[in-house]
Amino acid sequence: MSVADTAERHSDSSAPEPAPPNELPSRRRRLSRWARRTEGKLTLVTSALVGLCLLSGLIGTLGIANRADLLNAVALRNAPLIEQTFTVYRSLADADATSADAFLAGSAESPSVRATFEDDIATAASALTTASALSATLPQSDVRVTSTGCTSADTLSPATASPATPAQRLDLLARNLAVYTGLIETARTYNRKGFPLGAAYLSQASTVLRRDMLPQARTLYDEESALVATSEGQAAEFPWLALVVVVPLIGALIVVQVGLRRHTRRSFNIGLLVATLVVVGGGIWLLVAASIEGGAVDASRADDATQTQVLAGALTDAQQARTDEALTLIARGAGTRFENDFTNQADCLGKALDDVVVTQPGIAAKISDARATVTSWRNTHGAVHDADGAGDTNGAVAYVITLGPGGKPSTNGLAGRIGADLDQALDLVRIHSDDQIHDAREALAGAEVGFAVLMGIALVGAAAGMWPRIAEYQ
Amino acid sequence: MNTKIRLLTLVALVGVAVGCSVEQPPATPTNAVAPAALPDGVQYSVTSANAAADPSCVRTSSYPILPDSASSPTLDTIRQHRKLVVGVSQTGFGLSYRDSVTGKMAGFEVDIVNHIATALFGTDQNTVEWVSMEPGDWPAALTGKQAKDHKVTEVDMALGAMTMTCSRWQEWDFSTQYLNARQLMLVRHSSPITSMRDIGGRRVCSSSGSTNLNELVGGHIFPKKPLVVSAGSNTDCMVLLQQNRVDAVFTADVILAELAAQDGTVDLLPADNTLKLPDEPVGIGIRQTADHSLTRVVNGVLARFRGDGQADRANTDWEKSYTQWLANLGPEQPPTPAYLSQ
Repeated sequence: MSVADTAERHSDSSAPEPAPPNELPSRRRRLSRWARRTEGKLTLVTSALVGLCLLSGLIGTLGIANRADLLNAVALRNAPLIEQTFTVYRSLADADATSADAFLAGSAESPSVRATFEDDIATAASALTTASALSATLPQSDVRVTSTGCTSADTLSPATASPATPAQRLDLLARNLAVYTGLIETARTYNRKGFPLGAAYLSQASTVLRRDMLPQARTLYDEESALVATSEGQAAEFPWLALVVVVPLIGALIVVQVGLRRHTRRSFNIGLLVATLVVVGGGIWLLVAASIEGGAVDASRADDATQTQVLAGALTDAQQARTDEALTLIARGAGTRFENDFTNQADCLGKALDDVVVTQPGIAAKISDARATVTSWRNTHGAVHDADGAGDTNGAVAYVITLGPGGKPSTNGLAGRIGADLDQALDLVRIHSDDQIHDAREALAGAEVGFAVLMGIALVGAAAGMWPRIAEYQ
Repeated sequence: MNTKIRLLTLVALVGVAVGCSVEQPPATPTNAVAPAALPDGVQYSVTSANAAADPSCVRTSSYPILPDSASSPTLDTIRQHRKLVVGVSQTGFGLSYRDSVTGKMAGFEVDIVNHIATALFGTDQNTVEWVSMEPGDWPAALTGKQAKDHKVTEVDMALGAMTMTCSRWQEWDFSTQYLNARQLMLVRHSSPITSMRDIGGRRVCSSSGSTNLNELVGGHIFPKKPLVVSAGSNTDCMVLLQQNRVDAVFTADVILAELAAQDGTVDLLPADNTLKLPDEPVGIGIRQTADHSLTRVVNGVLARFRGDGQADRANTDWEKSYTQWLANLGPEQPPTPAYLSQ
């Protein structure tokens, strides 16, 4: 309802103007004459106050609702989607490394290696289903990111048209997962017969995974992370807009009270006083809630998001290095390529562990353990490389799968330990981040309804304070 | 951000949310297409290969024999490192492959390499470094002229049913011949292709860098042009054949017979002499040096392996290995070596 509407309705309901019968002044002239009179002035002031209360209530409430929606989306959909996407990536990369191990081990494919592979596929499929359900509830984003970090999408070129949306990426992943498992089982059957066609199928499966699947999962992960950063940025902004309406409202209330006091010689107008206090209180609530929320979101954004990205990158580097190590022994016609790849990935892993800015002591412990394990891995890998170079392929395979030289852990065992360390570190970060977002949502809790109610009270107070003054002139 | 945009965004979001939850049925792809999950390195519609005209030479003649104990800088270096670096296929069933049951390299060509190692070092135990490679890797591995994007390990020699050609002779050495292969074709049981003349417009696969690919693309041997597909290895071609992505595999009969041995639903097409497909003498590719000393020692090993000059051919190492690994091809005699006069 606008000020003009209120004014006009008011004039309709008040006593009619005593206009001379032979003069027909225009509607505007009648209005302005009315407005020059005290009763008209007071009515206009009241309408303005009521309008400002309504506007403040609307903008404040919608602003809070917008922030709460962004945070809810992050907490309930984006963050779980990122987690599921990462699970897809991890379990697929692990399946790749595990199937390579199974091939290296020959007919002695151990039940535990097989079980690991089956669990990886089940985990990937399950995470894909969850991710698809989550992505269906999200508005389509047009965030484009270029992948950063060491785990580059292989040099293999994409064979199919590139999907653009999260839904398309997930769909392509699901279809390729079926193809991938089919190829792996074919490879396994031929391997059990001792036929080298098995190696060709294994290589094809690995190609599908590294060329067609992992880059999709990675891009999806990066896109969703960027989206969350944007949402959190918006949710943490200072509430300028609410301030822009609340401050003038307080000013107007004070000016009106001072004016009334001068004209009516009454010290206090209870209605207006209540309205002023309520608006000031509401404004303070809004600011405090928004700054607590913004602080929590910023904490989640600045520390946790950066840490998550580095740790997740390190985890995929470790995974990739493990696959490359297996491939150096399988050496699918690519000579030194996989040895170079292993060195690069291990370098990247070490660098990521050095770079990560740790915010919790629990995480620091995991990182330093992982760092030490990387060193052991590189030493044992040297032994693998030497054994392989000396023609002792079986010895090299044993160092990778069962036990390292001198009874030390195998490189797979070490890679698993790094994975577990990084997993636990990521969990700690995730818990912290979830807590921050939870705090942020708590800070906003009730503010939406509360602010609307307070502005309603202010509106009623202002109207109730002004009404007797207007009535005096009737 | 100003009021209007914020409010409008909110209204729009609410609208979208309401619209989504009420209006749209879930988008189920009823006719989803299986992704084209090709092996690495497959290329469709190959129209040109390394099909430069083969210079003329006597391609089966190699350098005369040196005794095992001969000394030369090349041989001394190899003996000093106690390491012979050999490029082989890992998937060439019967010829050279990693047995997935034992995890060890095995096959006819692996036997030959072990004989060479024994001649050079007195033992074949841990003296051979097997480097897995396919025909496309041979030039870089044997000459050291590396491509920028694809580095391969350099080797002393490479085996893999390698056809002796005059253009390859210019890049590296060949040993004397150890097999004689014919070019044949493998198709599925139910295939409409019943003769090698029928392949016009059909998809035919050969491994990249092979002589067979050259015949398909550059030669005027087939009456109607096939659609040529190249893959990283012949085994990848076999995978494509099994997955109905190509209609035939075209390569040496030794390779095809061993591919067929792994799958009961494929057939070798009969040889067709009217097509004038050149024979494929098979030798070991050896890194070239000025004195050709490694080639000459290897030729000595091969002469004993084949049992050159022996009356009783049944008891040669060649015959034993052949019977063990390549019996699918039917009975065969070892080839007769030819030597360059030097």
